[in-house]
This record gives sequence, C-alpha cells and structure tokens, in this order.
Amino acid sequence: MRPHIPEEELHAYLDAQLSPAQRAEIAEHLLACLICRALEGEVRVLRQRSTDLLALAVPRTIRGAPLPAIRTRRRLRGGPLAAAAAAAVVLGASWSMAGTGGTPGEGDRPVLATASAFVAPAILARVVAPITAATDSTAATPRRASSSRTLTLASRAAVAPRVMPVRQVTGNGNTRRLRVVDPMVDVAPSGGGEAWETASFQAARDAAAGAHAHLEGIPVTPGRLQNSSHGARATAMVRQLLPDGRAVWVVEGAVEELGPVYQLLEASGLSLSTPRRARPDYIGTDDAPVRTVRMVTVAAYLPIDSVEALAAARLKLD
Amino acid sequence: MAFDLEDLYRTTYDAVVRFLYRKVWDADRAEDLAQEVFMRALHHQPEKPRSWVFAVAANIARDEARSAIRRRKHLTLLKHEPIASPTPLSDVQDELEQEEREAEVKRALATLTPRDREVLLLWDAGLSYPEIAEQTGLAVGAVGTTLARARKRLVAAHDTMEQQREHRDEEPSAAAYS
Repeated sequence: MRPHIPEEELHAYLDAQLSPAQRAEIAEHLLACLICRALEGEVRVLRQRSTDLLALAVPRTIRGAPLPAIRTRRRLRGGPLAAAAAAAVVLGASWSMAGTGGTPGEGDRPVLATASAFVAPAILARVVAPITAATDSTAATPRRASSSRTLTLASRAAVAPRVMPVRQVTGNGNTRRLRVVDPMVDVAPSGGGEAWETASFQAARDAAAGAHAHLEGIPVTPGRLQNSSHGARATAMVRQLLPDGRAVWVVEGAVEELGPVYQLLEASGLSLSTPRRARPDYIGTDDAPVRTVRMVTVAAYLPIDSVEALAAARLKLD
Repeated sequence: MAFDLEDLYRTTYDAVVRFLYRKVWDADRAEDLAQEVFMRALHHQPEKPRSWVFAVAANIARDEARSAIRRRKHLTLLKHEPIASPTPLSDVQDELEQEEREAEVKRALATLTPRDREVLLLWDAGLSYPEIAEQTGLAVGAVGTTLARARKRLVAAHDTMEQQREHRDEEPSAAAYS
C-alpha cells in the first residue's frame, strides 16, 4: 500500500481536480486506511467552511440566495461543524465496513456495503447525541440551549430509518433480505417547506425540458420532485435499478436546494459521488431568469469508488 | 473558438463581481470594475475568455487599490444614502449582523499572503487548478498545496476572531455576576 495521502492531494481529490487514475488510487486507499479517511473528513469540513465564509462576502446586489447556514454558528458553537463531522463519521463507518468485510478483487464489495447502510443511522444517532449534549452543557444562554435542542431533534428526524427490503445474494447462491433506508421515502427535508412529490421519470424530464441527469443504460423507476424556489426546473431525485435489484439515485438541483438533501443522504449511510458542478444554468421564467449553479450527484449503497466509477461512466448530463 | 461576449457575461459576471468585491469591498465599485472588465473583453476578444476576465479583473483591482479614487467612492456612498425608508427592525438587525460577519471574513482574508488569497479567490470564482496555475504562475501541483494552506488559514483566522468576540461578549455578563 502507498504511504498516507498528503493533505493537498485530498484537497485536489475533493475539488475533483485529479485524473481518473489518481482519483481511483486515492479512493482505493481511503477504503483501506482509517487515518486518511479521518483526514479526508477534516479536509471536507475545512473546504466547506472556507466556501461558507467566502459566501458571506458577497455584495447584496448579486446575492440572490439566502445566506449559508453559517449564520447560526455564533449562537451555536460548532453546530454545523459537528453535524458535518458526524456525517463524515457515518460515511467513514460505511466505508470501513465495506473495507473490512470485502475481499479485494472479488467484485462483490458493493453487496457487502449494503449491510452497512442500515447500521449507519444508529451510529449517527449515537454520535450526534454526545456532540449536541456537549454543546448544551457549554451553552451559557437559554437561546443557545434551545438552538442546540433544535439541532438534535432535526438530526434525529433526519436519520430515523424508514426501511425497505433489499435482497442480497450470498456466496452460495442463496438470497437473504436486508433492511436498508430508502431515501426516496425518507428524504423530505422539512427545512425548505416544499413537499416532495412522486413523479414518473418522463414527467420529471418533461418538467425539466428533457434535461434531467440520469445514468445511461440503467432502468429508471419513478422519481421524486420538489418544486424549486426559483420556479421552473424542480429539484429531482431519480431512482434507477441496478441489475441485481439494488438502487442508485441521481440527485439534481440548485446548490442551495441540494444542500439539505445532500446532508440527509450522507446521514442515511449512502455513499455519494463527488458533486458535478454543471455549468451555470438559467432557471425561472423567461422574463426573470435566475442564474444558478446546479449540482448533480449519484448516491448509492456502494463503496465510494464504485459510485464514482458509475458516475464517471454512466452519468449523462444534458 | 468564436468569442461570445454574451455567453461570457452570462456565465462569469456574478463570479467576477464577487471576485472584485473581495478586493475592493465596495459593491458599486465592484460592479463598475466588472463592467470595465467586460468592455475590455469586447475589444480584446480573448481566446480563453474565462481565465482572461479574471486575470484582467485582478489587474484592475490592483490598479484600483493603488489609485484609490476616494472622491468617487464618497459620491457613490452619498448616492446610496437611504432616504428614511421604513425598514423593519429585523431587517436592520440582519443587515448589521451580515455586515459584521462580512467584516470578519474581510479581516480573515487579510491575514493570508497575497498569493494564498489570490488562489483561494480564483478557486471560489470557479477556475480549475490548471487555470489558476496559468494565471498565478504556480505549477499545477502547487495549486492544491496553496489552496490547502489558504483554506486552513482563513478558517483558523476566523475561528480566532470568533473566540475573541465571544470573549468580549461574555465579559459584561461576567462583570454583572461579581
């Protein structure tokens, strides 16, 4: 195995600025190496915080979107950070299971990763509780305490597992049933106020003028749509079924609307591909177009490298 | 590749304004300078327009910092003096809070070295590592290193400020107890 990944390479990795070969190498190393995975979690948080800070320095004239979640940080020390760190821990948990259980080269690591998906929310609940409890104990004012409580409740709601049965083929040809979280049912961020509705893939594509991202060559089942606050193209989750019966989700929407969804998906134990930043897009009416950067990501109960490979090979962005 | 100003404008205008704003810290000035950048682009018809506009924006911001046209800035401020509009209190509070937070980011950015700051702002403006490398004269491999350092310093500087502020905020209440 190669030595540990230098920090700057993790930045480049998360910034999606490496060649496919370099990315594959790092993804593989991350699967096996706890130390680098921990560092990757830190870099992920650092990256996000840096972006959030810069987002505060934007002139009002072009600041269309509401300010990032950072606005609560002052009252809630470490709040968003703790949540992000917890999400990173969960992701780590699902990887480590895939890593320890899988035999490299057998090609069945994706299946093994499925088992971790059900475990992950329980881990998150356990991780989030102490962190928020610590925030409570250090909170000096009632305002802080109540914010912390809100966070705890929100986190618990986010990870309350709704389960769906999945059949897993075991080595000797038998199948057994697993229970995993179904984000199609589960992802209903209350924060946005907008409800998710189920729609056929065709309806979703029609709503997006044929421009929804999807994985080519993989069958599509009904997706879920959430009206975008910008109007026009909705935020969309498209579920696609792999040949063995497991599902992957392609999630697409404006950055600010995808944020909560992304966190939820991560918290439910799914691996997510590096978000692709599509070119800035114009949504809304023709009279009042709104410029937005749309993000596309692929989520699945697969190891991160499988998800990345799937996204690289099959993801079709119109 | 044919030069398409309209497309360039649509896809990079906001990013250019943001980039400039974080250098001149004046919204109107940033927009004026951005206009200037695109005017120059129209004359120059650059081959790699995206990199080009940020290179020019960086130059313009540098010139601006040198000449610091204060009179004009003063006029701009006057122009935007609010005419006793009945703003809800919560909006005012939000605005003050936003200003305060922005000032912290500004101070945190100021603690970075010019090169670290430039790389961070260019990345945030949407340029890729090779594009940043070309503009700053760094090797592509060094962009990640620089960016890693810049992010770490920005966040660390901001954390320090938060701690100091919290310390300040808590002092009066501590005094009340004694």
